[in-house]
Amino acid sequence: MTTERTTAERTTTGPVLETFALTRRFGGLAAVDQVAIELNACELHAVIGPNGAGKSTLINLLSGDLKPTSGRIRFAGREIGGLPAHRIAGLGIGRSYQKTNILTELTVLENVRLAAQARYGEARGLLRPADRESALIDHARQALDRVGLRAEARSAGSLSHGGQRQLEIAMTLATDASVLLLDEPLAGMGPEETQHMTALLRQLARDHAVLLVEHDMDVVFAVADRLTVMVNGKVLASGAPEAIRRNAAVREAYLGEAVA
Amino acid sequence: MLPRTRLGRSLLLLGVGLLVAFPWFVPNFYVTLGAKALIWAMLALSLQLLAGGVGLVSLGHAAFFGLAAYSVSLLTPEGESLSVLVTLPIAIVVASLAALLIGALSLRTRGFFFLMVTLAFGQMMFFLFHDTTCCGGADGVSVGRPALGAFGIEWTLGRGNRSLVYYYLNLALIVALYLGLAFLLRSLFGRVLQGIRVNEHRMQALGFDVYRYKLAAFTLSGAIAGLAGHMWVMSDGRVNPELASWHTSAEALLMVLLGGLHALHGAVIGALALTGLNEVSQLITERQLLVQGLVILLIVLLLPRGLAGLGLRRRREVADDD
Repeated sequence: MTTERTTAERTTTGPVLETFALTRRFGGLAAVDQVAIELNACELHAVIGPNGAGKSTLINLLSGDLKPTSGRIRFAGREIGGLPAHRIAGLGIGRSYQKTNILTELTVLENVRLAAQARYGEARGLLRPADRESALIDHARQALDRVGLRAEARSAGSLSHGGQRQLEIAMTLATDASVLLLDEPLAGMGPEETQHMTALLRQLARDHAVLLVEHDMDVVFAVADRLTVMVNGKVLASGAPEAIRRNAAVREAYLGEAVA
Repeated sequence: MLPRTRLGRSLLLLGVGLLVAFPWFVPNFYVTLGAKALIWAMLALSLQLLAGGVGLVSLGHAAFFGLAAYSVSLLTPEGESLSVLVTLPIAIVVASLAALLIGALSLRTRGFFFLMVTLAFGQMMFFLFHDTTCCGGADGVSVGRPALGAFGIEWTLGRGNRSLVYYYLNLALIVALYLGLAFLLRSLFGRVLQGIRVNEHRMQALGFDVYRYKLAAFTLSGAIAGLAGHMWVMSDGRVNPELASWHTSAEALLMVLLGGLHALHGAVIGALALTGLNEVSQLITERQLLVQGLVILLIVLLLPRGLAGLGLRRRREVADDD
């Protein structure tokens, strides 16, 4: 189920996801202000910046959780700004949340199976018994394998924090999204979990366009193909990690001593 | 939602067996009461689908119950009766259409506001029947009971056997409804409803059009309430605005709560238990509402999973420890 989509999008030239003068205001505050950003297939593009820079708002705009005040969002040659979240997800843009957002009362497998169903369920006839739809269940298991999560029969709420973050990524994968928007997937993780997740991020970027918002600078510089720095809702700089590291304005505004 | 263990299934069969045997051991009066309790169980099941299945609590479901009853009344010429093959489909279609319309508007709200909007629509329906002269106004009106038969062949029921026939008819409908809903909740559609109950926002982000799923469930639930309303006219032979009042909605909700939100058979158990409780408390005291209130309070406090969760509790606690 996976291969046809990703290859189809890889053949289209230019960025998969692109924004033009994207703006979102909350009252007088422009949380995202005239942002132009682009995301290519098989690329990990990290967005960094201090708290309140508008990184999460940017992801919420791209996923449809928030509607833009102005500006445009283009995905695979098609205008998607202002579409409802479920339509955007249906087009192949999946996301994870900064604050873990899973179906805690259900089993791990059911969480991921529902994600697969979101993509392929309606075509299969909604009245069919869910337990007999083995294609969906197999698809869910593949996604769990890929993130390295076992214990499929446990309730999702009983997983460790790190396990829940993995589960969230597995859910996104099971929808066969070609674009992954990951909002601080490493938040609150211990060193071992961080290592595991870093390897996973690298691996995901091989066949997905990944937009990563993350505070852990060591990880960001280790995995990102491209970096965008946001401050006060605006893009301060964008480019290869090395260029960003050397950029004087970025060092002054944000990185400070951390990478000196 | 069908019981998974052999014990659960045996208990379910035992329950159905008891209901089948019930009329043989009691006077006719209690058969009539039993037939009505089974209608309450249908209305409670319709709410169970929403409250337990999707996590939507509606306080206006009596609107569909009453509307179906009144549509039979409006359809039937005075002093005559129509075939059930005519009245039943029409009552269900009218109730479903009303649910589709009311659902489409009220599902734009959530939580507390959804409760209030459904309550408002329910009250509109109540006052429509209460304040217009079309069907007897506040007093209601008697209706020719839909006849069991068609094309000239009819099963004529008299006072003697009527209750018994309606009792078994309602019992057959309840069993069919239960099996149908159990099947539905296990289908891909039912799993989406379950997901929406647990975390609607996440389901939306996964790509489900949650509004459409909720509207489908609401409409289906209205159709079932309509079926119950139709069976009520058949059993009772009259309609009155109380059928559509918020008391009726609240009572049905209470049955679901009493029986247990998380099991389909909870609605049936709750409906039978509350009807029984009403009857018993009437026998022992004039202050029956006080008795009812105390019993309900005790059950809700002591059994958070309702009557259907009795005996399940200990096993659950053990399972959660793994």
